[in-house]
Amino acid sequence: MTLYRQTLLALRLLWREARSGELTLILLALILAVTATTAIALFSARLNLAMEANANDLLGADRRIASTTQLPDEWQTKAQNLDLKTARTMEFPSVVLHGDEMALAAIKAVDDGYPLRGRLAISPEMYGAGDPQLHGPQSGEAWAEARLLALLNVEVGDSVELGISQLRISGVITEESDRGGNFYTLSPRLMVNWRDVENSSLLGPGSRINYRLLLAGSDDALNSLEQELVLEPNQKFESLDDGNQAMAGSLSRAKQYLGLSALLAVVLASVAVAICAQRYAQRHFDISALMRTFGLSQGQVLFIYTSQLFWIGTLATLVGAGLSLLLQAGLIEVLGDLLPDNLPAAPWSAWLLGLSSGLISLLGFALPHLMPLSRVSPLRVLRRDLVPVPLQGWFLAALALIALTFLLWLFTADVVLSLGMMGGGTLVVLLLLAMLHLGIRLLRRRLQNIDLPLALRFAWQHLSRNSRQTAGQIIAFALTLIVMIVIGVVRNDLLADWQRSLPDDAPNVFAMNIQDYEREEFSFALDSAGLQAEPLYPMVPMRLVSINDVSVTELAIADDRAIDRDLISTTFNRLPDNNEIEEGDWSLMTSQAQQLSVEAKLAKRLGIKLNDVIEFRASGINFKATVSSLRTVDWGSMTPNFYMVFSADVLVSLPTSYLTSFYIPVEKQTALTQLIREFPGVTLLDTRYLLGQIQMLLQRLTLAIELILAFVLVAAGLVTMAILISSTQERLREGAVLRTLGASSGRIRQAQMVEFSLLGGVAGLLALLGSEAICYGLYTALLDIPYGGLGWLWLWLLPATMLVLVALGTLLMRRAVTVAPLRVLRELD
Amino acid sequence: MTGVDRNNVATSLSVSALTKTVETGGQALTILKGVNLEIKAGDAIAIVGASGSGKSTLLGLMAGLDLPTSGDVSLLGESLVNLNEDQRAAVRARGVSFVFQNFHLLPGLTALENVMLPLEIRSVKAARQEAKKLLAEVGLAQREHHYPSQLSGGEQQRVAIARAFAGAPEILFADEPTGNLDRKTGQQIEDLLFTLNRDSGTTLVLVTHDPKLAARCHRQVYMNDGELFETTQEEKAL
Repeated sequence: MTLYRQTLLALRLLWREARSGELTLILLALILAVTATTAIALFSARLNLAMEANANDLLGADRRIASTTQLPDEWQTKAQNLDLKTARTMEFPSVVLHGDEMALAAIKAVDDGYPLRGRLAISPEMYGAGDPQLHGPQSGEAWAEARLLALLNVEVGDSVELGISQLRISGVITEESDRGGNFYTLSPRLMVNWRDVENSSLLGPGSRINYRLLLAGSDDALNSLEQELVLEPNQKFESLDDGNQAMAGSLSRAKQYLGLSALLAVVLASVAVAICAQRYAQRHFDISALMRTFGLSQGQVLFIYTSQLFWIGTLATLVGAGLSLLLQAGLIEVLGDLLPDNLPAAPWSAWLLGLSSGLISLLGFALPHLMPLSRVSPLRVLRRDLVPVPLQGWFLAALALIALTFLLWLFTADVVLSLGMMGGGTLVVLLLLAMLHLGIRLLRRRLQNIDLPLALRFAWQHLSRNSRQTAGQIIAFALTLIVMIVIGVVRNDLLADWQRSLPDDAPNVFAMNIQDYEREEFSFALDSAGLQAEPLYPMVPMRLVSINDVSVTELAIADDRAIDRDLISTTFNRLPDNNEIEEGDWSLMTSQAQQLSVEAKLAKRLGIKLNDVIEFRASGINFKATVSSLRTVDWGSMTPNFYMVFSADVLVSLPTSYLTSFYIPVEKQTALTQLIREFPGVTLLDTRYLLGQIQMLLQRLTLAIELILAFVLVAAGLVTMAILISSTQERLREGAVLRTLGASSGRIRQAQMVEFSLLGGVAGLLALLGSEAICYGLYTALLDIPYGGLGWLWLWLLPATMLVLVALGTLLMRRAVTVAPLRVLRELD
Repeated sequence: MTGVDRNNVATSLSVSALTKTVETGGQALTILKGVNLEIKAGDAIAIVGASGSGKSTLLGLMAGLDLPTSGDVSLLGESLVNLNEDQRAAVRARGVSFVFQNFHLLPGLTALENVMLPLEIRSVKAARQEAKKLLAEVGLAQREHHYPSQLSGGEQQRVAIARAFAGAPEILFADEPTGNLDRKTGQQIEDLLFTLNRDSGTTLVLVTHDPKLAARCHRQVYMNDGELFETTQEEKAL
C-alpha cells in the first residue's frame, strides 16, 4: 500500500471513528490542553507587555539615558534616525519665588516631545481632577504641584519667579508617572518649558542638573542605539530594571505566578492526554490485531495510528486556538477597566508556544501509549487475552519527562528552572509511587485473612487487583490535586504578602528635614490632626570615606553609585519589622559604642564584611564605626528605610534632622496643606499617586491571578472527569456482571462509593504530602516568601476530595445500576 | 496421513510435521505433536475436536498468525516459517480472510464500513459498491449504516462473513463461527457460509466442536491431544 493510500485509510478510519464518538474524549482532552496553554500563554504575554508598559510609565520611556552633563544633540538625531521617539528633560533643584515667599522646588524642564510614555495630568485648580496632557507647559508658563502652591501661597494664574524668568502658573500637576526617583531628595515639582531654562543662568557651572534623553520604540532600535553610543562614566542607560523596587518585586512575582500557572496547566493537560491515549490504545488492540489479519504490516499499523494522532493533534490545535482566542477575549472583557485601553497584541512566540503544546504533549504523552498497538499479535483475534507488552515504564516516563521539560523550557525560557521543576516534580512523583506501591502491598498482606464488609471487600479487591491502573489513577488524581493546591496556596500567600507590604493604610506621606527643635511640635500637630505616624527617625546625611583605612577612591568600588553621594543614616531604638539581621549580632548596638549595621545588599556590593571599620564624613566631621551586623531591608514597604544604622552614641555629636512617614486619608487632605503652612521648613513628600499606581497594578494582578486560578480549576475538574470516564467501561461491565450474579443495585452502589472514597482519600493524602514538598521548594527557591505549611488544608481536603469523587463517580456509574445488565454487556462487547 | 486424493487441483494449504510447544508456569506444554495436513483449493474442511485439543492453535499457525516450534506451513504456495511477521501479513493480504466466534467487528464503524475495511486495505477501487453488494448478499442491505452494537449476534456474524468474502479470498479460516449463536441463527449462518464458499470457490478451513456443522464439510479431521486424525464422510458414516 502506498503512503498516500495509507494516509487516506488513516483519515477515513479516523473520520468514521470520530463520527461514532470514539475519539471525543481524547479530542476534548487535547483541545483543553491547547486552549488552556494557549490562552494562558497569550494572556500572560499580553498582560506582561501591558504591565511592562505600565512600568514604563514610571520610567517615562522604554529606555532612557541619564547624565549629569548636557547630552550631545546628535544622540537625539541618531535615535530619531533609528525611528525612535525622543524627548529631553532636565531636572535640578532651584528656589522659586513669589513676592516674599520662597520655596525650594524640583524643577523639571521638558521639551516638546514630552511626555513619551506614562501619564501627565493637570488640573485647572488646587486638588481638582486632572486632565491627561500630551505636551508639557507652554513657554512662559509653568505647572506646579499643589504643595508648592501652598508653600508659595499662590493660586493658578499667578506668576512665580524662576531665575530671571517670570512664569505664569497655568495648571496643578495631579499625575506625573515618571516622577519616581529618590524620596529623600524630592522637593515639590515645578514643570517648565525647555526653552525657558535652556539658556538661563540656572544652568551655570556648579549647578546639579540631571539630563535625560527619553527613548521609545522597538527593542531592536533601542539595542542598536545602546550599542552605538559611547557613554561617559557619568552617563547611563536606564531601563525598567532600575525602576521602582516595590513594583519590580510584585511584578516579577506575578510573572512567576503566571508562568507557574501555565506550567501546571500544561502538566494537567498532559495527564489528561496520557490517560485518554492509554484508553484509546486499549480500545484499539482488537482493531490492530484485525488489521494485521487483513495483511497490514506492523509499520503500516503504526503509521495509521501515528498519522491519526497527528490529525487529531492538528484538529485539536486549530479548535483550541479558536477557543483560546474566545477565552482570552472573555478575560479581557471581564477585566475591563483594569486593563490598559490598548492592550498590546500577543507576540507570535506566545501563539507558537500555546499551539505547539498540543503536539508536544501528544508526542510525549500519547505516542508512547499508541506504539504497542503496532505490536499487537494478530493471534489476538483468536486469543483475546493476548495484550501487547507495554513499553517499559521508565521509557514512558522518560519520554513524558522530556516532553514536559521541553514545554516548561518553552514557557519559562529558563533551563535551570525547568530542569529544577522537572527534577523536583519527578522526585515527588517517584516518592509518591513508591509509597503507594508499598502501601498497597502491605495492606494486601494485612487484609488477606480478614473478613471485611462486602462493599469494602469489593472495592478493595477491585483497587488492588488492577494495581497498575489503580496507581496510575491515584497518581493522576494526586497530581491534579497538587496542581490545585499549589496554585491556590501560592495565590493566597502572594496576595497576603502584597497586602502585608502595602496595606490600605500604608504611609503615603513622608516628612523630612524636621529639625530637633520642632520635633515635639510636629508630632503634636500629627496627633491633633488624628494622623498615625511612624516614629521620628533621626537622619544624618553622610559620605563614605574609607573601609578599613583604605580610601574608597582607591578601592575597586570607587565608581559605585553609593560613593560620592549622601547616604542617609540613622539610629534605631529597636529593629523595625521590615529589617532583618542577616549576619552579626544586633544586640552589640546597645551594649557597645561605635557600632554600625549595614544594609546587606549594599554591603555585598561594596565588599563590606562584619568587623570592618568604616569611616564616614558628615557636616565636616570624620568618624569611624565597626560593622557589627548586616541587615536585609524590605524596600517595598512604604516606611523610612536606611542603608546605615549606627549605635546611638555615634549620631549624638552630629547635626541631626528627623524623618517620618504617615498615612493621610483622602478626606484629610486639608490637614496636609495645614502642615505645609505650619512647618514650611519640613519637606513633605506626597507618595499617594505612586502608591495608588502600585495598588492599581496589584489589583490588576490579583484579578488576573484569580482568573487563571479559576481556569486551572476548571481544567483540573475536566481531568478528573477524564480519569473517571476512562475507567467507566470496566466499572460498568463489572457492575453488570455483579448484577447478573444477583448483587443488588444498592450493594453495587455502596461498593462503588467505598472505592471512590478510598481513591479520593489516598490521592488526597499523597497530594497533601507532595504539595508540602513542592510548596516548600517553590517558596524558598523561587518566590522568596517564608513558607508556613498547608495548615487547615490538612483538615478539610481529604473529606472534600472523597466527597467530590464519590459524587462524580456515582453520577457517571449510575448506568451500572439503572440500565439492564444485558444491555450494558452487549453495548460494551 | 491419509489425504483425500483430488487430483488436478492445486494445493492451497499444506502443513508438515508441525509441532507447537509453549511454556506455562515453567513447564513445557506440547500442544501440537507433529501434524500433517494438505488442503486442496476450493475444498471445505472441518477441524473438529474437544476444547483444549489444539485446534485453534493449529488454525493460528496455518493462517500465519503465529510461528510453530518445528515443522512447516505452506500457505498459498509460500512457506511461512522463514517469513517474519510482516512478510506473513503480506501473504495474508494476498488472499486470506477470517470469521471469528466473537465476530470482531470494529465498534466504531458501521456495518458497511466494516465490510469496506479489508477492501480499502487492499486498495480496491470500488470498495463501497463491492461492500454494499456483499452486505446485500448476506441479507443486510437495510442495515448498512447500523453500528455493531445496534445489530443482533446473527446480524453481526453476517457482517463478519460479508467482510470475510470481500476481495474474494482464496482461503477462509473460520473459528467456531456459530459458537456464539443460538441453534436457529447458527443454522442460517452455516447456510450462508457454505453457499458463499460454493459460489466463490474459496477454500474453507473451519474449526468447530459442533459435529453437525463439521458434517456439512467435504472433509473432517479430528484433533485429539495435539494429534490429527483423518476421516472421510464415508468412514464417518460407517
